[in-house]
Amino acid sequence: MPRRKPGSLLPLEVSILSACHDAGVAGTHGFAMAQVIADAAASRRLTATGTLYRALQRLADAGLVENWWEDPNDALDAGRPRRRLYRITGAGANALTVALSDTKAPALHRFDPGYTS
Amino acid sequence: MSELDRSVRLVRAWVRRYTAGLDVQHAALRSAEVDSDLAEHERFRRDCGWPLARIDRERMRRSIMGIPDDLGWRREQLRTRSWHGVTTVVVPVTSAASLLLAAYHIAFAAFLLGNDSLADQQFWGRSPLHGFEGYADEAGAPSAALIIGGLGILVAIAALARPISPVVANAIAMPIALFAVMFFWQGVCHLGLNFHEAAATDLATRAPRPTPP
Repeated sequence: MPRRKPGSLLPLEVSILSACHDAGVAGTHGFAMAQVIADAAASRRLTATGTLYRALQRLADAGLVENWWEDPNDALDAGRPRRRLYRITGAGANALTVALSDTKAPALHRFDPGYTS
Repeated sequence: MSELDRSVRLVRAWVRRYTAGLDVQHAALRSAEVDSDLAEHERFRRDCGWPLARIDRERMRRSIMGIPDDLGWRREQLRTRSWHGVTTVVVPVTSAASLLLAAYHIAFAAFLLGNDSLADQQFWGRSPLHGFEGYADEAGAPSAALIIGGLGILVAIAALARPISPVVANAIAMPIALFAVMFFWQGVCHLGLNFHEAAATDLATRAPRPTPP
């Protein structure tokens, strides 16, 4: 993991928060975020599994995203394993605003700075 | 077994490997999340019309590229768990040791107050532990030990009641636990000597030897 200042976000974390923000209150799952991040970077390469979920764990530990498991019946109906869904928190939205206003951070997604979840 | 099944099995085996020895629930959640990711990946690329071999290669690449972070995640989990374990052990042990120390010194102070003659003799300062002889000879030593014990209890309670950093909690708790155990051990040794000497004194005063003819 690259070294960074305490409280600052890595580019991947900013991208994850942006993807969560775009997904809204319904939340989104890890692989969908990898797709969004790849699309935003105009890349066909998806984020590595371990890198993605470790970053999500860090963001969850920091209270910037919240997660929950979807209803098993929904997964059963769709014929796939259950998804773990992530949603940005108020603190996450604030951190994203700060990160995007910092010119050094890569701005993959811009959003209304007045947003609060 | 298809190529795709093989890649799924390899990834699952790797997940089992790096989650081994972790909290069972954490490991199960991680495994379920990776399973979900594998399935979503396959579905997405199938919809794109990718051949199975290509999906397999991409999935393997994602897993291999993520290995350093998988190991980093494992280290974080182990660190969190071990610190949590130390905190759960050390703080109650510190509290118990401090309580034990305080109880011993209260009992010992009461014992001395009730036996002025014993206190005067100061034989309870003869510790078998070298380097501690001076401690019990001091008049205020039991009080000082009580204060130390009391402070230990307060700090331990504060550590239990407040969500402070595990590192800070242990940095405070460990020396206190060590200190309390050392003083307690010294006290036990003193108590043993006290009874021995008291019994000897008692015998000497109450049952004087008959003078030889």
